[in-house]
Amino acid sequence: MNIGIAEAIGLALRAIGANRLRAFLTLIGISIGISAVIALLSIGTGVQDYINNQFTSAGTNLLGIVPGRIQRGPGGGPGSFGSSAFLTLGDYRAVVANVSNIEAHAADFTSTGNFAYESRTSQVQVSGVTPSFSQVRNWRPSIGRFIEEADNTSRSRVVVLGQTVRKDLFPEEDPIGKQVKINGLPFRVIGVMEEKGASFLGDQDAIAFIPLSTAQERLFPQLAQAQTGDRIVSTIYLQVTSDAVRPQVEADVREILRERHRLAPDDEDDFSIISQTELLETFGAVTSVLTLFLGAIAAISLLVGGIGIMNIMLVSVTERTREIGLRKAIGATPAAIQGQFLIEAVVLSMIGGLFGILLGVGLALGVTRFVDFDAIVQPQAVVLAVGFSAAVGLFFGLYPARRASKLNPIEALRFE
Amino acid sequence: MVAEAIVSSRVAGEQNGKPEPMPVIDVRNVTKIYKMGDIEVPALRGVSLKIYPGELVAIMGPSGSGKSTLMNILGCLDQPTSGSYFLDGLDVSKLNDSKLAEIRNRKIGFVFQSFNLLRRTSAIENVEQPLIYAGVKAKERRARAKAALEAVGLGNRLDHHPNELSGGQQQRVAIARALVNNPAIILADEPTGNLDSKSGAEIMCIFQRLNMERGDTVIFVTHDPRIAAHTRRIIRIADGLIVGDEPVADPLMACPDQPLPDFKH
Repeated sequence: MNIGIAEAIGLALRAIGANRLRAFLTLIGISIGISAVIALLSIGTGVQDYINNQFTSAGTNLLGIVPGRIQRGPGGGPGSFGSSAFLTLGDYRAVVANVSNIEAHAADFTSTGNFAYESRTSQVQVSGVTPSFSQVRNWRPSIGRFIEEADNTSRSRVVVLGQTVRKDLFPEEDPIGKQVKINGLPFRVIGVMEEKGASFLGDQDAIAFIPLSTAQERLFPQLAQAQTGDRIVSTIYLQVTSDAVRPQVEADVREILRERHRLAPDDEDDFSIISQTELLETFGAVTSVLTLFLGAIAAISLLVGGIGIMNIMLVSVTERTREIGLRKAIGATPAAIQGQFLIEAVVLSMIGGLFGILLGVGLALGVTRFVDFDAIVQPQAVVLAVGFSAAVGLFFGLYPARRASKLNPIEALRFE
Repeated sequence: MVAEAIVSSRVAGEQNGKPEPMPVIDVRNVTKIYKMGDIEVPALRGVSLKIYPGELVAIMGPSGSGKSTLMNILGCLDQPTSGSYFLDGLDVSKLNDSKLAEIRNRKIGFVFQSFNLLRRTSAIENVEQPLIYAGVKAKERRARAKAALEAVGLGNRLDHHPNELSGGQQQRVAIARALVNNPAIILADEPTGNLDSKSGAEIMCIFQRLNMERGDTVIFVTHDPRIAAHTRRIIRIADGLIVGDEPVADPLMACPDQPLPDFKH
């Protein structure tokens, strides 16, 4: 004697509706658990996506060589910078001349510049770069042009503005061809970079580019002067031909630089090679720890919510003993009674799950209002959440439902 | 058994020599012993009983007589310790819980002293409940529940909830629920116990009319002599044994002269 699933759900909804406040309080636990699952997955996916985008937009298969040693933190994250060593133009030339499998390369010298145009000023980073910087960092001017080889050779006073400084100095007018002053020195604006947006590294648009030689010899002649007489560079960028050759390239670079820096075999490197892949792995590790943590919260909420459901179902079975007795008297089989209470628990839990999905999506969207990335609500996450809540109801509803099904109808009917 | 012989002969006599019909209830030497720890308490000590289709019977006895135990066994809510019970020709004394539930659903209509309607559920939905477990489709269910409510004179109260109905009306909903699946027997346990005498008379009238006009078999379990006086046969039970089984010579009629709300059958 099977009662249809639609009938059973109808009965369950009626029973739940008879005690709305209690049902609501019960399903809060499930809602919190499910919303944690949804928010966690949506934000996690969003973060992953964002980080991947950041690194891809920084250029693919990119290695960065910086002076000093970056200590690896305990979690594998970037730690503090060590010694005050530096890299030079000579290092750069030696590396690109002697290392194979390099598709493109660039170098920069970066310091702070005070920008002025008429009465407006802006203090941003100013980066002397080689022309290939644009290609290597996958970052192009939106108007005008980038630094070219001729600019570098002639140490021209030309500048390509980032969007932040463009907005500061030229809120309305077209900046191309205008003359701005950087640390008092006049520069002609030849282009404006496309907007890069803010990242976890800060406002990437708060920068302006000038030829490397101009920066080293005209704008920061003292800062860029090494004791050896060579010119200092801040970063050497190498774009390798593929990720597979990266370890070999790193080894070659290390060998050349150690030799040039005259390091003894047991000396530590006085430079660091940073690869995207490594950074991605580092951030991946951070996000997976976060995911695990939030996942634990979700699991605990679901457990607590499930226990709440079991509790309320046990109360419900006791309260409705006479109803159970009556249903048995008029022909409900033990299986039908068990099914009724089980479905009631599952429906209750799934209502909690639906609330939780709404709450979780709201939470994820709310969080992303305050940060730069977008939460991505994946359909799989919603399916997972619905499945989870059904499973919780099923698991925690089973015992009360079995208890209901085993009630003796005579005693149940006599129950006061 | 003497009582059995009386019943058989009486019914056979009423049938005017036609072959004896199959009893709807055939209880043979049934015992029921409850175990309270190590102590065995016999509630029924060998009861045999036949009830035929169309009878209107009262089972009477003081509390502790085994009356309730007998009712539970007759209603397939409990199993005898020994002996056999044929309901509508089927041996139900050894069925499992699921099978018993099915038998209750199809063969028995219960009417309880305290009505036992589902709260927050309309009259018609209450009456539909047995049909849900019988697997009847929604449309047919509604139609049959409506017909049953009309049969007890509540055709105009279909969507009322129990708390909007008087005690007598609630008990009529319960009667409609008992007969909606066309059971072989209606078992009524002190059906007027919670009602005033006027409502009680209305309820007895309904039972009498169901019995006379539809031929429903109705068994009352009661200690109230007034109910018993409205039946045509009184079975008395004491100390777990049947001690009397007699026809009622001149049953009281509960219905006033003018007919009660229309029956549809």
